[in-house]
Amino acid sequence: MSNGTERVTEADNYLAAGTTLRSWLTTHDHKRIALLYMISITAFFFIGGAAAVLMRFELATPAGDLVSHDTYNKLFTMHGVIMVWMFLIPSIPAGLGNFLMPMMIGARDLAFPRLNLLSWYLYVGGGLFTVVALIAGGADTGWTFYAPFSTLFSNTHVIFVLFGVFVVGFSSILTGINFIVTVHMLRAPGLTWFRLPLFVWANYATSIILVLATPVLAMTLLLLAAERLLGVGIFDPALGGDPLLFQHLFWFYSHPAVYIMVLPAMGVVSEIVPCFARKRVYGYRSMAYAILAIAIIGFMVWGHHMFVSGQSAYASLLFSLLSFLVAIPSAIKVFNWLATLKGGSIEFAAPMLYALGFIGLFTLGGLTGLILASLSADVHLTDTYFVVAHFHYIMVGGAVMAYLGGVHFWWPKIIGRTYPEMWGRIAALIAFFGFNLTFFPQFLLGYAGMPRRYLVYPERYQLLHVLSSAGASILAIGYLLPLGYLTWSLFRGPRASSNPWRATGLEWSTSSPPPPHNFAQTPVVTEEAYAYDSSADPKESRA
Amino acid sequence: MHRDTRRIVLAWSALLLLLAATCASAWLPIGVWNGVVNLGIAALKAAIVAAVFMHLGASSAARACVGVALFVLLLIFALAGSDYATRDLHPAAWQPPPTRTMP
Amino acid sequence: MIAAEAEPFDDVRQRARADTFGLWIFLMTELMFFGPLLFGYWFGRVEYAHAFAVASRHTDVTLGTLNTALLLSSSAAMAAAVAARVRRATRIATGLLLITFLLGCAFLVVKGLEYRSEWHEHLFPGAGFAFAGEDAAAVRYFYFLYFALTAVHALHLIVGMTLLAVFAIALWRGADEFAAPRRIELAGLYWHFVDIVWIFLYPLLYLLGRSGA
Repeated sequence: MSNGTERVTEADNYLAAGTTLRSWLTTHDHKRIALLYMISITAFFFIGGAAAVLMRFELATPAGDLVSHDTYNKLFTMHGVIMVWMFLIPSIPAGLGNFLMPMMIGARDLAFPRLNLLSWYLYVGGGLFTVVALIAGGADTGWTFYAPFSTLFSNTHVIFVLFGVFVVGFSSILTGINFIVTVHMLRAPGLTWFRLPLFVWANYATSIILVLATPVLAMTLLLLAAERLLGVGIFDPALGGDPLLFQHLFWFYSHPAVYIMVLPAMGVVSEIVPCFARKRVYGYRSMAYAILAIAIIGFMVWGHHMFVSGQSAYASLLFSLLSFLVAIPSAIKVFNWLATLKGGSIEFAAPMLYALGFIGLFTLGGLTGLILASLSADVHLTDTYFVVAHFHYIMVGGAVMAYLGGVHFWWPKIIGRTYPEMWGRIAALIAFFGFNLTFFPQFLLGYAGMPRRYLVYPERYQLLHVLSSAGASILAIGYLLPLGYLTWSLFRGPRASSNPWRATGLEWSTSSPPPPHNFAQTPVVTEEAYAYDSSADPKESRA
Repeated sequence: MHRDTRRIVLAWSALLLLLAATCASAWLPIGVWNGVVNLGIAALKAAIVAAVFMHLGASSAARACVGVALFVLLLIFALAGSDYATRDLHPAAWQPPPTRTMP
Repeated sequence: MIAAEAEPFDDVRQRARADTFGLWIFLMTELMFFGPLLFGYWFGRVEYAHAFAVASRHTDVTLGTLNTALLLSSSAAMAAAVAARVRRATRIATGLLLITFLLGCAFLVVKGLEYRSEWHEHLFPGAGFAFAGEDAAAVRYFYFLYFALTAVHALHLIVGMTLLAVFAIALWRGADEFAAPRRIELAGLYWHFVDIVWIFLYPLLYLLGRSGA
């Protein structure tokens, strides 16, 4: 076992093993690939964020005075495309997951290391292509690319953007294949399925969604391109097609996609909460089953995006019922986190602040999802800011907070240095406050009738918009701060011990940063996960 | 060795016979049952290829993959199909599509 | 000492099982990739039953049936090639891989002939489409699916054929490690999957409405 705070030698440190750019760009090490992902994900996040900043500036006044209508359409399209496909979907699985999945199961790497590198190149290639399309003028169809506007009327670079997304999709399929085979076949001796960390369960279920849903998107985007290029008519009612066919196919992927985004976030929360409550996760098995249930039922609810688009009332009823059902396993998870917290000895470290923020904001976002899943309420609320607020509560209040929480939690392990804890807590609180100020007014706006994707609005909505834009500037600070102090800690942060948080989990038994092959000898697992409040609880900082 | 070759030749013969059957049956005037018979024979052919050539029977992991994927694929047909089954489509008359200025 | 080629697994047998498992998952992603086209077909078949029957009768059932026979035979040849490679009968395996490849070529030639005549009949989707008779719009929809399905299938076939050619040449040159039995097996699984896709495309595209009902 390595000494904790001494400088880790070159042979024992994946970061120092090879310092050339080439060694990074041709690496097979899942930890390096994870870092490559995290760097590129961060870049895309700020590009997508820049689009959002421009939108919020524009929306501070009722008139369309900052950008033209067409430009505004392009802004929200590129914001959505980049945030969904180039940030949210890869962030936790390909960023944190690539690093942690092999380590959490006691493996030396993922099942297919070279495929892992290929998936990063596909991601960067597709992402760059999309950014180039953006610079060339972008698309204005919304990230949902609805026909017939995208196929017949839009005069923007739709096909370029589609192609970028198409390529990035293959990146996530490869990650999914890698994770599934890894979890099935590379678990250490004694690590049965029900001893796995919930982060592993979450990414496993996410991978199943990735491999089954993403190909449907790929074909749907191809069909869209064919319709646009050849005018074949599958989505054009005048030619015998059906625009709703596009929506069915698109949402068949895009609804499970939101579970691709939120399940890994739930996995992160399930790692952080027991650690900073010093308690086992309450109801471990139900948490694992709930993850699977969310993944499976999540495939059956996509029609709730189509309640007012012409879908039959009977199908809408069915989708509404199924959407209510999918809330049940999510609620079980929230209850179990709360039950884990109850009676624990809580430490409000930065990762815990993010995780607690997740629990509250995800709950609110989820409840508003139930409102939207109610057919009659949705007739009023669909395509308003209520929907925008709902999904940002889950995606930003939920997934982004969990991602940041995970980054902070595993930062010492990944980088081998600790970040400044006070700044971590400040940034978490600023982000939480800024987030709520940005998005809570949007629930009110939507309820009052403000449509989404509009840049001009009646004066009576301005107060809420101004509050939202003010919140956005605070939220931006909340995101820029970690960029600052985490970068600082790369060079100046104090060296980390192997287990600064006294957490359970195989990843914490290695040095910080870990050696290139993770474990000198394959560990043997003899106890359940989250062995806090037991004799195996790591009570002292592991030296 | 001979066992392997024999199994392959038998499977191949079965596949070609089934091909002849499905082709011939397509001309029988049995209405909607044509489709049922043809798809049924196709499923049988696929099963032979999967079982004999792909050794699907030997791998429970592979069978699980196929089962889960087929289930999810069927969800599209079942749920989106429920939409189409319960709503009337009134196709518009043929119209030439509008022209656009950009790919 | 852990065999380097098995990394990160402990032995090559585990590595082989992982590869096979990974390939099956990949094949399922391919199944889901074809899914939307199949659903689009089903939508058209239910909505425009008569026009679909008319359109399907317009396909060349002789060539289609011939192509199906060619692909089924190629699958048999591929299975035999894999079996030969596994028992180290390298020359036989090379020959069978070549036969599989040639059968794939024959398939593409026949498909090309079909496409050519369909091009001349103005059945390609796009501005040049023309069909005499009512339900032209729905017939056009059928033909879009016909071309989309068969073209995507053909692309997959070409990828498979490339794999076969690479492995056949490698085997012939004695590169036994590169053309390892495990890899030929994986190529075989892919080839059989492409065959299974066609097994379903054949009745869907060629046999609809043949009984005139």
